[in-house]
Amino acid sequence: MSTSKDPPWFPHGSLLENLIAFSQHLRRSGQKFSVGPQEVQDGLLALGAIHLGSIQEVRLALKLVMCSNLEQERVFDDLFFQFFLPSRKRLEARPSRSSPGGLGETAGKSQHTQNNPSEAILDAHSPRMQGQARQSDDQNTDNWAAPLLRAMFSRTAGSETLEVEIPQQGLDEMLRAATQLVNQVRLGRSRRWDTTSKGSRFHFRRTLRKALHTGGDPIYPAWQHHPKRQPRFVFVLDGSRSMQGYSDRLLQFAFALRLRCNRVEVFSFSTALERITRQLEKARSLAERPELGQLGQAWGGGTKIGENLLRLEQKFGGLIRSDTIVIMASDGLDTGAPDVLDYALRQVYLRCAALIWLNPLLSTQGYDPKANCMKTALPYLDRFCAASTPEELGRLTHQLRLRK
Amino acid sequence: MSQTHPQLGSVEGIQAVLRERNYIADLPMATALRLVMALHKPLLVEGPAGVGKTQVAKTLADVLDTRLIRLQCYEGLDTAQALYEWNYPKQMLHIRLTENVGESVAQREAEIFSEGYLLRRPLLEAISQDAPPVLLIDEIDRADEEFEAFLLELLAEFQVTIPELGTLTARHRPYVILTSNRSRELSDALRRRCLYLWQNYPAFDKEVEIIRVKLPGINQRLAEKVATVMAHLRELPLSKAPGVAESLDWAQALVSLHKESLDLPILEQTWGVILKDRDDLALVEAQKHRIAELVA
Repeated sequence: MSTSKDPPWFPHGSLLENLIAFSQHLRRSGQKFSVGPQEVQDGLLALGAIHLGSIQEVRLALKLVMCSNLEQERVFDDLFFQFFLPSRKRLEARPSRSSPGGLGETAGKSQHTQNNPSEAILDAHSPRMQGQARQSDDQNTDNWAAPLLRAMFSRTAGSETLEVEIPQQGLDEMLRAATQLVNQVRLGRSRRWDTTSKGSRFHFRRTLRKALHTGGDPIYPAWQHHPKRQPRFVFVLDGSRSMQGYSDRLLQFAFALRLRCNRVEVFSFSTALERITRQLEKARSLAERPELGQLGQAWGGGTKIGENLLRLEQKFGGLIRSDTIVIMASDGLDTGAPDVLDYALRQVYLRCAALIWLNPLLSTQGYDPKANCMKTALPYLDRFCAASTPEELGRLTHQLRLRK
Repeated sequence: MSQTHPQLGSVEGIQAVLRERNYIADLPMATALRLVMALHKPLLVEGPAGVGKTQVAKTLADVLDTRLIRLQCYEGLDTAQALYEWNYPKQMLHIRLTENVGESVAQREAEIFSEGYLLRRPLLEAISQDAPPVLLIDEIDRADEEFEAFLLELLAEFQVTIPELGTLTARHRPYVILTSNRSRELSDALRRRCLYLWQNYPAFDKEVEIIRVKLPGINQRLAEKVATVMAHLRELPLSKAPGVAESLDWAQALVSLHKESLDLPILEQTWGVILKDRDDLALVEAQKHRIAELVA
């Protein structure tokens, strides 16, 4: 039942009914909005605190209450207008004067692409460099070249309808490998203090507690020490078509690593980059495998390593810290620009504790990393290996020297 | 609170009040602050470094004429530094001094674990105030996951449990603002307890306005040129993109050097104010002529 106070553009009767229907609309979208009764209640309170006649204020208030991360924030406006004003185009508050080349709050995507020098560099390089990539990669042709040819025929298109699944077979072995890998990392000590029987700092609180049982005399002292630091991993998986046959197992390994260690971020790329950590962490045990669904251009298409690595560095740069081990899993059959790859690798190399490149082709007889991409990457790598079996994957960090 | 500050009852009013304090808040930020005050829910502000996330908490405290309590997060932060700690030397001394008084163990324990021996850290301080303070939990992404889990009780119920004293509930709910630079993903549980706001670099017009408000002595043309260059630099793949703080520093530097306009020599002389990385400097050097053309 609509009340006189409700704005006329509310499609489902009362404010509450509209909010419930809108929360269902959000949940049906692909962004995993966790909008329940609490959020609906907060939404009602929020709408009571603003000017209900202003669609912008209503949109912003509901966005603040119902979004909980950047990905949701980015799609919210479209979903809002889709629901409340399906016949109207998105009402975006444009600035009176556009930012001259700025990545400001309201800079549109087309403008961003137009004025973004890094995008311009990428665009300018693509046809020429793709040609170069073809030439240079062909120099190192052998039986492993077939996937490259496959990749070249679909440089820009991902298999948008391909359902990505993590194989169940061999997951136990992968878990053991992941455990081994995590345990082998030797980082320094954390800044936290943990209670221990022997340590470097006297633990007043615990000692005092114990002293109560001995008449106030601290006979049994307690100590504290800095525990070992937990490693962080960023796993970047090349899901392009040329990696078919390898990417499933590597994705399985990434999933196992995520199960074994909380500080793991997983990305997949083909012609576009996709963060898949959230999908992977939905499953907390072997029994429930995560549903990755369709990864669009991040799976099954061509390969643009440099561009995607640069996107990773720019968009998720904060995830690559001085205690992060970056694992890049790719065959290096790239159709992107080598100088972009060089720049991106340099940035990642400078930020992380170690950069590991897994190239499944390395175990192929006669393979020599002469392709432009691999030649560019080699100077920045702390470890370059094939690691196609769980045992080899488990030894990835064995005696790895961390730079930080 | 809106009774003492009538303007805080509306989004436009909040924008106006913040502007009086030289803080230019756009509609999303003003709406967020309106809801923080109306719903008493924490606000999680994410965004790149230097876009004014911390400043908004300071300005809010100023507007509300209340205390700002700041908890700077870092790896290894634990409850002893964030919530409370017992004053152990004082407790030891008390035990020694009362050895021969004849009190029972239970009495002595009750004495040394009373509030007089409690050292209050920022979180406990925030829920013990007579007037609701602004609690700024800065760079929450730097803290460990364990600490984040600990925060859940505080942010949901505004109460903390001290084993020796029991559960302490906030007399007045503080206005909580959490900031994050996204150096790691925060848990869904924490996010669900907060309002969420993504704060990006300001648009051109807003940045010009910020510069003019913070530096009244600067001319409009120079402020626009500074904003133009900064917007361009943020598009470059820099490892440390300059924020609003750098814009203000740079504008201040130009005013101090009595520069009325920008040209290539001035740009070269003052890069160090906004670029703090050798690779970034090299990248911008390669583009300096294009940037000089932009501001010509």
